[in-house]
Parts: sequence; structure tokens; C-alpha cells
Amino acid sequence: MNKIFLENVSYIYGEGTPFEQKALDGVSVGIPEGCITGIIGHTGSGKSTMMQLLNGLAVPKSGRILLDGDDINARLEDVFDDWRTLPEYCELSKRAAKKRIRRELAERRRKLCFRVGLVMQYPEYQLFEETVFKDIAYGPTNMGLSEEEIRERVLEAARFTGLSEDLLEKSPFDLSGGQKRRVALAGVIAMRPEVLVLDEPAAGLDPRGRDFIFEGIRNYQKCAGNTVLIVSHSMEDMARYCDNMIVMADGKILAEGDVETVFSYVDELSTVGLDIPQITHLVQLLRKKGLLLPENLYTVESATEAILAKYRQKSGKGGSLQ
Amino acid sequence: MSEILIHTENLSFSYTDETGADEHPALDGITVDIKKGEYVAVLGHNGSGKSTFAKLLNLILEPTGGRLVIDGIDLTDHEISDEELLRLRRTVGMVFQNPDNQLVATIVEEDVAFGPENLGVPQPELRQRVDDALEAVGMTSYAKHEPHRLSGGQKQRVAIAGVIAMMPKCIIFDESTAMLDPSGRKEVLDTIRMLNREHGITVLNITHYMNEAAMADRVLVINDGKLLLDGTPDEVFAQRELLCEVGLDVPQCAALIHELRAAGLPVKGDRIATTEGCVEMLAELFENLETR
Repeated sequence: MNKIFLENVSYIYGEGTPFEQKALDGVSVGIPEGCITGIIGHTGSGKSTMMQLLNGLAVPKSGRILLDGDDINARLEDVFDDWRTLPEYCELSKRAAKKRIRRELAERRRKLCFRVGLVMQYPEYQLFEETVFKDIAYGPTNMGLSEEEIRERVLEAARFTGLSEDLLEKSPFDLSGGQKRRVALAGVIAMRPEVLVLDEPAAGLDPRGRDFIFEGIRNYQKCAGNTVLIVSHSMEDMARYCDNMIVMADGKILAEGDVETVFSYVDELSTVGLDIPQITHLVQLLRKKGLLLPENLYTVESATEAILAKYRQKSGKGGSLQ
Repeated sequence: MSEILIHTENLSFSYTDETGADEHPALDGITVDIKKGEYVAVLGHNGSGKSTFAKLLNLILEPTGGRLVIDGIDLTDHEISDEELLRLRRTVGMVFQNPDNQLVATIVEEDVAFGPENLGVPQPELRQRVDDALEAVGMTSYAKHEPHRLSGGQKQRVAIAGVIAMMPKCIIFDESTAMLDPSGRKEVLDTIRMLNREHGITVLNITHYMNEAAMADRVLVINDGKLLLDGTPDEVFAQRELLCEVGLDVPQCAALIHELRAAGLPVKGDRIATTEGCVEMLAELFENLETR
């Protein structure tokens, strides 16, 4: 089941100028509901543009973006004929129906940024409040929630991101880099978005900080059961934490599917300047040396198991290198 | 080659808060010698003190304890004169993390000229240095371009050219690849390796990427302001438990060898830092099985 579907979406930067650049070129792809999807692609492949389209920060030049089947950028003339037949509008005069539909569309657009939460790159630079609590509460407050509800959501978001309660009354500027990053993430999670979109959530963090952020995201996804989209350059992290992957190159979809399927396009990935996980490369080299391991190994755990199995098999009955 | 460029003895540094009361040691007694022409990677988690270490070597910060000798000048036994300071800044150049924060001019070659011009390098030497530096990083054809239209990797190479034009003996890279994509990172790493191998420049690469550290001749691991490990990448990545304890990791290939050994496989050899080394060790393991 697709939570989001992009239907033949194109986007062009600087159209009509000498710097005109097609960022997305007729992209059609679905984002499955209730799991973690990774988007990978080199700089300029169109992945950041795609993220901005998802919550209405940018509007496609052509094509549609469907959230739960509804075009998020629908205009009055697009929906009028359809909606007019609905019971709530059919009895109104044409003019009154237009007015109501226009208002409904505006309301939907306003709510879109709560439904699709965006965590930008280096989000810690966007912290601004006096205390961590207030910063996390900023989104829910703008949603017009009650004080009690806001408090509950802030505490919940802090738990998911591993921020202890004593940090909540501190200034966000007194925290470490990794903690600040988690505060920024909590600020978006607190809006309980149906779709959480993260751009390079672990960039610049040390290994423990990376694990912490990704574990937090995965816990949140499991508990809330909603849709998560992660943009990253790190194939190792993607292999570990994602259920599905979309590979982009030159504004088009190069490959999509579960992690296994995508990593089977190893050669194509290399030609567009993407790394494959080091472990997958290692297995490839061993295969070239004649050691027949399975091709689809992309985590340390799976490679360990495969090599152990191979070793047991060979030491058991000897035989040739095949 | 074995001449020592940087010598530290119990080097320490403490940050103090605005009242001057609360001292927080960032670096606590580092003793290390770095030879001319070495390629050294520095690992440590956020807040371990590794950036402080780098800032001390470039005299952005002054040590609060211990001894620091750079290129024969002891910086801790006397007041440093402006002339010495200038010479030291020329000896140790630095490339930072964010490519957008380091470029000052509106044209690439002017940006590269900024450093040497401030050092008072006269024409036509200045022209020559800029051209040479751009050539060294492979950016000659971009000399007249606007820096803000370049890719991240290209911007970092321009920043590196700006440092090279000052002809330093040593360049410190402070997480210079952290904000780049894989191809940008490769551009910068290739440039770093070339500067080290072909121009004999001493390199200190501070990084969070274990795979980058594996490319160095030597790896220093700093934790809580102290030097925890110092050795070749193979030696350092053999200490997986210790590294994980301090919030670091080992490259995937090394993790694989550790896992296989833990499961009882007799993998021989110690070249665990690189893919190639691990492949050889594993191939040998299976060959031995054949001939047994």
C-alpha cells in the first residue's frame, strides 16, 4: 500500500535562464506505508528536490503527488467537477460550493506540513527557543493543541530520541552537537507526522551518535507504525535500517525495491558514483577469487553467516574450490 | 624523512567558562611525535578533544600546559613573537568542515591567492603559486569560475589549494569530508593522498569515517582528552572492543574478521584495516582448507 505516490513528476530549476536544470524528470514512484524507505543518489540527483515536493515546499512543474490518494497541490479547477457531486457540496450553489472547496483546499495545504514532517540537513542550526522543552513544543503549539496535549507530545518525542527529562529545561545551545540534533528531530516527531522525512539525519556525527539517531528513528517508526523516508549517502546505514530503497540518478529513478533487490544492481550503482557497502565489495572480490558466496550480502551479520556456512561445508567434505 | 615536525609532551588545554571559575579540560596530557611526511588519521567521538588538538597545532588556541614544538620552535617556553606566529601559521595549514564557510573571494583564483597575498608574497611568485596550487588539486580549468557554483568536493579542493599556496609543511583536515557526498569525498581523499605521497606534505586527517582512517599510515585515537591508541590502522582496528567502548567503530571488513574469529574460524594475519587485506586473509583461510 502506497502512502505517497509520485505520478510523472517533473521539476525544473531556473526555467528560462541560462542555468536551467531539470531536477526531476518524469518520476513515478510509490512510498510504501508503514515502513522505512531510503532514498539514495549523488549530489544533484534530485533527491532533495523530491523531499521538498513531498510537503509542499516546492510545487512540481508537471505531474501529481498523491498523499493517501489525494493530490497535495490540487487546485480548485482540478477537483471542482469531482467534489461537486459529493453530498456536502451538491446542494450548494455553484458559487458557494467553489468558496467552500477553496477553503477546504487551503486548510489541507496548511495541514500538509503537519502530516509530512521534514527534518532538514543539520537541523540543529534551526533551534531557537530558550529551553529544549519550548523548542520541541514549537510545532505542536502551532498546531493549536491544548497545553496538556503539547506536554504529552513533547515528553513522548523526548523519549523516542533519548533525551532525558533533566535536559528539557536547559537551553538548547548548552547541549552537545548530537543532543542538539536529537532535539531538532524531537521537534518534528512531536507533531506526530504521518510521514517523517529526514535529510541526512546522521551527517557529521560520530559512530555512536549515528547509531543513536538511527535507532531512535527506527524505534519511533515501530511504535508509531507510520511512514519514514530517509535520504542518505551512506549505503552501510541504508542497508542496516531501511526496508525499501529508491536510487536516484540525474532526476530519474534508477532502481527501487527492497534492500536486496536494489543492492543487486551493484554495477549500475557504481556507474552513477554511489558506493556499495564495503562488505558487499569484499564479498564480490572473494567471489572473483573463486569462493562462491551468495551475492546478496550487504551487512556484516549476513556476510559472517555466509562465510561460516561456507567454511563448515568445505571443512566437512573438502572438495574443490567450487 | 624521519625528522620530527610536531612534538608534544603532556600537551594540555582547558576551556574556562566566562566567570573563569569552571575549568573544563579538553586535552589532558598528549605526548606524541609526528614525523615529516607522515599521513596520520585522528579518531575520537564528538567532544573527545581531537579538534582542540588540531587547533593547538595551528595556534588557534594556546596550550594551558605541557610542551609543544613545531618545526623546531618551542611554543611553550617563551612568548611567541608575531614573526614566529606567522611562520608557524605558514607551516601548519588547516582545512575545515564546511566548504561554504572557507571561501572568501568571488573568483576561484582570487580565493586561492587570499592566503599567500596576506603573507606578503610578491608578484610574479604569487601568480605562480596560485597556478601551481590549482594544478595540484586539479582545478586549473575552474580558475575564473565563481566558487559558489562549484560542487562541495570542488569547493573543498579550492580551499585546499588556498592552503597549499601558502606552502605549508603540514595540513590538518578537520572533518573536511563530513559534508560531502561519496564522489566529493573521494575527490578530496585522492587529493590528500596525492599531496602526501607526491609533495611530501605531512597530513593530519581528523575524521569520523573509519574507512578514511584505514587509508593513513598511522592512526591516533583520542578519548576524554587523552591519547588512547597510537599505531598503524591494522593495529588500531584490531582493538575492536576498546574502540566500541569509546563510541567508535571499525571498518566493516575488520568487523567481519572479528566476528569470524569470535565464531571460532582460524583467520590468520593482521591486515584487517582494508578490504584488500581482509580478502587475502580469507582467501588464504579457504586455500589452507583445500590443501589440508
